Amino acid sequence: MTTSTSEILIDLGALRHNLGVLTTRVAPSQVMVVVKNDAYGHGLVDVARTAVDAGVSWIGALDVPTALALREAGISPPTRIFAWLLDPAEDLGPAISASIDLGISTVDQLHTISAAGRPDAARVHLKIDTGLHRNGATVDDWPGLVSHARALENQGIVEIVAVWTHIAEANDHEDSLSIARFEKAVDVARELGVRVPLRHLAASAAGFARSDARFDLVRFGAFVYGLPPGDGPSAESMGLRQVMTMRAPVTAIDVLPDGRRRASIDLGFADGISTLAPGRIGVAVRGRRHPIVLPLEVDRTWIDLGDESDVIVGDLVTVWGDGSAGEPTLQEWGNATDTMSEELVVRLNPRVPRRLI
Amino acid sequence: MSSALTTHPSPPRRAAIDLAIVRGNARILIVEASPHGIVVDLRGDAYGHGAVAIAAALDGEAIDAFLVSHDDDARAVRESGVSIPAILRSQFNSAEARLIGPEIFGLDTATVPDPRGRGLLPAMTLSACVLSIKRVSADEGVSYGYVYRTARPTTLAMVCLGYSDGIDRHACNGGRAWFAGSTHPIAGRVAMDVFMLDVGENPVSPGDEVVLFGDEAKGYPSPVSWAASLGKTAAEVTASLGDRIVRSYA
Repeated sequence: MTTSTSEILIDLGALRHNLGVLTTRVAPSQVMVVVKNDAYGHGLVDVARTAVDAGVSWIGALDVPTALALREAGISPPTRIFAWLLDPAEDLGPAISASIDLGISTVDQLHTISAAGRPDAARVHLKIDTGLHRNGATVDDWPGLVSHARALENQGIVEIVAVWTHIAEANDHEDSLSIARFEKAVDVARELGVRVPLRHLAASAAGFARSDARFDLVRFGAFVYGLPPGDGPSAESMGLRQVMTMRAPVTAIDVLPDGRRRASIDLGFADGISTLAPGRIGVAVRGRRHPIVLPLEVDRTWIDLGDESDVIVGDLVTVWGDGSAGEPTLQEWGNATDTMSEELVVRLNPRVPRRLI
Repeated sequence: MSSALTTHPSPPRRAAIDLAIVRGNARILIVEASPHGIVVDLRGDAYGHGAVAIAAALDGEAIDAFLVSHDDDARAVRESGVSIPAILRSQFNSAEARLIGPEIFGLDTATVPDPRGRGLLPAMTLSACVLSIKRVSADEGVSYGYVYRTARPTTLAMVCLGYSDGIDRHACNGGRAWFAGSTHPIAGRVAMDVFMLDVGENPVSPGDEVVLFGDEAKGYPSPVSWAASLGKTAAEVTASLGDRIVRSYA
C-alpha cells in the first residue's frame, strides 16, 4: 500500500490494551488518563472518548481551555475532568459551571474561585509541594490553604475533592521522602476537617512501579500511549504497546558523487524531527533500517541508502512505530536524541495528518 | 485549544512579530542580492512566524516568489490576496534566483551565522507569563530529576512554556530568560508545559512577563544566543515553536 503524504497512525486497539493493563496493574486505585497537549499528539477527543468507553472515569486535561473543549466534545459528568495549570488572569466561572475539577495551590486561586460567584461549588484538589518545587503549597503555607478552603466549603463555594502532589522521580529514596511528606499533609488536612479526600501523587513511572505511590488515583500520561522512560525496560517488556506510528513516502532519490544513494521524506525540523537525529538514528524502508543523515532541512529529512538500489520513490518510510516493520520505537528515538519519547510526540506539528486504525 | 486561547485578552504564551523589522531586513537583503531574481524562503510556516502574515507584509517589496513547504501554504498565501506567487521546492530554480532564508527574521543559519552583524534584527519576541512563585531555601532540588539545586535562598517563578511549546527539555543547561531588567537561569529540566526561572531576590508576581528571546538592544537574550545555548540555529528554534504560542503582529 502506498500513501501520498506523511501521516501519523493511531492504533486505538493498542490504546485500549494499555488502558486495560494499567487499570489492572493499579487496582483498586483508579486511573486518570492524561490527555494534555492534544493527548501527547495522539488526538485529544479520540483518546478521551476511547478512555471513557473503556471505563476510565478521570481525564487529566492540564488547563481550563482543554477541559472545556472536552466537555464541549461530549465528555460529560460523571466523567471527571481535571485541570491544574491555571492562568492567573483566567475567569474560573466557566470551569466551575462545567464541573471541571481544579488543582489549587494558593489562597489567591481560592479568591479567584470566590470571585467567579457561581452557584455551584467548585470541585478543588488541594496541592502540596513535596519537593518538586514547581507549584503546590509549601509545608508552611499548607494549613492556611486548607483552612481557607474549608471555610469556603462551609459556605458552599468549594468542595474539597482531593489532596494531591507531583513527585520528582529523581530516585527511589527522594520519592519515598516525598511520599512521607504527602502522607503528613493528608493528615494535616484531615485534622483541619477535610473529610475522606481522594489522594493522588503518582504519574506513570511511580504509579506503575510502586504500590505505595498509588493511593486512590494514578495519573497516567506517557504509559497510556506506550511510552516508557528512556534507558529502562521497553514498552513490550512492560506489557504495553506503542500507540503511534509515523511514516512518510520517499519523495526523491539522489545519487551522491561517491555513488551512495539517499532518499528524502517530506518531514523536517519544522514538523518535529529532532535536530539531533542525523547520524544517531535510522528509519525503516522495506523492513531494513537506514540512517538519517545531514542535512536536516526545515521540511525534509534525508536517509542514507548506501548502495541499496531497490528503494523507489513512493516507498513508505516508517520513522517510528512499535518495531514491527523494522523501525525504531519512540523509546529508541528518545535515547538516541538525548531526550524522552514524550518530547518527540508533543513537538510534532499538528499539520501532519493523523489517522485512526 | 488554541482557538480558545486566541480570544484571551492577554495570552499566557505569545510570540510578538514586528513586521516593520521584517520589511527592514528584507530591504537590506534585497539590495545585497540584486540584480538577481529573489525568492524569500517561507518554509516551515515562515520559520514559525506565519507564512500568510509575512507574505502579506512583504507583498510590496521587490520579490519574485515566496518558497513554501506545502500546497496548503501556497493556497493560503494566494487566497489571502498576496500578489507575489508562492511556489514549492520543485518549482524553485537556484540558477535563476537567490534564496533569502531565515536571516530575513534576524535568525542565524548555517550560511548566515551573525545576522546582527549584517544589520538584520530579530523580528520575534517570545514571552510567557509567570503562573506562580515560590520561595525556597538553599540547596533545594528543582523539577524532574533534581538536576538543578539552588545555590542560596531564592525565588522560583513558574513560567508557562514547556517542551511541548518547543522549549527544549535541556534548556536548563545554560539557558537564561529575561525578567525585570536582567536575565536569570532556567532552574531544572524544562517540563512539558512549564519551566522554573530562578529570579533571585527580584520581586515577582503571578501574571508577570518573562521574555525568552527578542531584541538584545532591549536587554533580551537574542534568538541567536538562545539557540546557541541549545546547540541549535535560531531558525531551528522558531520553526519548531508550538501552536499554543499565540502569534501577534505589529
